[in-house]
Amino acid sequence: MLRSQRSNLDYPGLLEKWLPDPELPPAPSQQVDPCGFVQLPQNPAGGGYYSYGTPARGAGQYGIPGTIRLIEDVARQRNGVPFGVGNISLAKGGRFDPHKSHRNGTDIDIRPLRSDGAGRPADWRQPGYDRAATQALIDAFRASGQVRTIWFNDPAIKGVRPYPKHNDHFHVSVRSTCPKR
Amino acid sequence: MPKAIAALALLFCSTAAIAQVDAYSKLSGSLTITSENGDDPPPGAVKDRVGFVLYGASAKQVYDAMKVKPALNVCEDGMRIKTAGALECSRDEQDNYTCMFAIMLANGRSKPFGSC
Repeated sequence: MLRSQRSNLDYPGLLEKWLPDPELPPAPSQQVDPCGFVQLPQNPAGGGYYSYGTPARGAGQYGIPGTIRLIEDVARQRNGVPFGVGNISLAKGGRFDPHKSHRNGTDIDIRPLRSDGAGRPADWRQPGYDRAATQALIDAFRASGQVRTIWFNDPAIKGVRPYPKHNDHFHVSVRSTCPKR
Repeated sequence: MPKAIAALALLFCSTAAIAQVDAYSKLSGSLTITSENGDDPPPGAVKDRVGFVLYGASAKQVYDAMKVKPALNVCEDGMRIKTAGALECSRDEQDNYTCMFAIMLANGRSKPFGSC
């Protein structure tokens, strides 16, 4: 195999044939700025998630590509009911009242899952909350290796930390090396 | 001479009096009539409070005037927070200041407003 490769590389002109033309623009997958903001696709059919929250029409659902990809990947890998995605960041980042974070496209609010599978609000202190399904969803985010912290107040859920007002959603903070906005 | 001393004393008193007058400045901020969780209100949620957000010079003025020591905020890297009851003022790494609090419309009591 090594000999074959060596032989190919030595063949005049063959190597150049397979190298990208420096005059051509990079492939679309390489054009994405890893720190540029993109909007979460809104309620794609069969996407495994749905959007909720204000401002309307996903105006608060912009993130760096890694954040959006994480949501899509977790949604694709799961076979359960769709989960609700709320605030991420505004289109240009920066202050997003009344959040302290959600500025850099790396914070995602997600509804806990309900036992009736409905796409409605849920609170871990209220009937209708599905702890097992919520734990599985949180595990799926954590298994990605891209999560810094998850804030959620249900003390029976593993892999999360409590923070005030995180009863009706959990907050996924994604690792990032992008500059702050 | 006594007249000069009296004039100086009068000037000193009036200057001291001016220094103690409160200075008012225009607010920079926003407000919203909202419920306990305005981001994702459950069915039947009542908009029972007004949430205030101060930023810029207004927030800095309040932050600086709060005597409590700032604490590192765990939900945003590098952010420092001063908390006094329902009043919460923060300063981030870029020196942006924000204050948040809510007032219940029924009784005027204050409630925390900001979230992570």
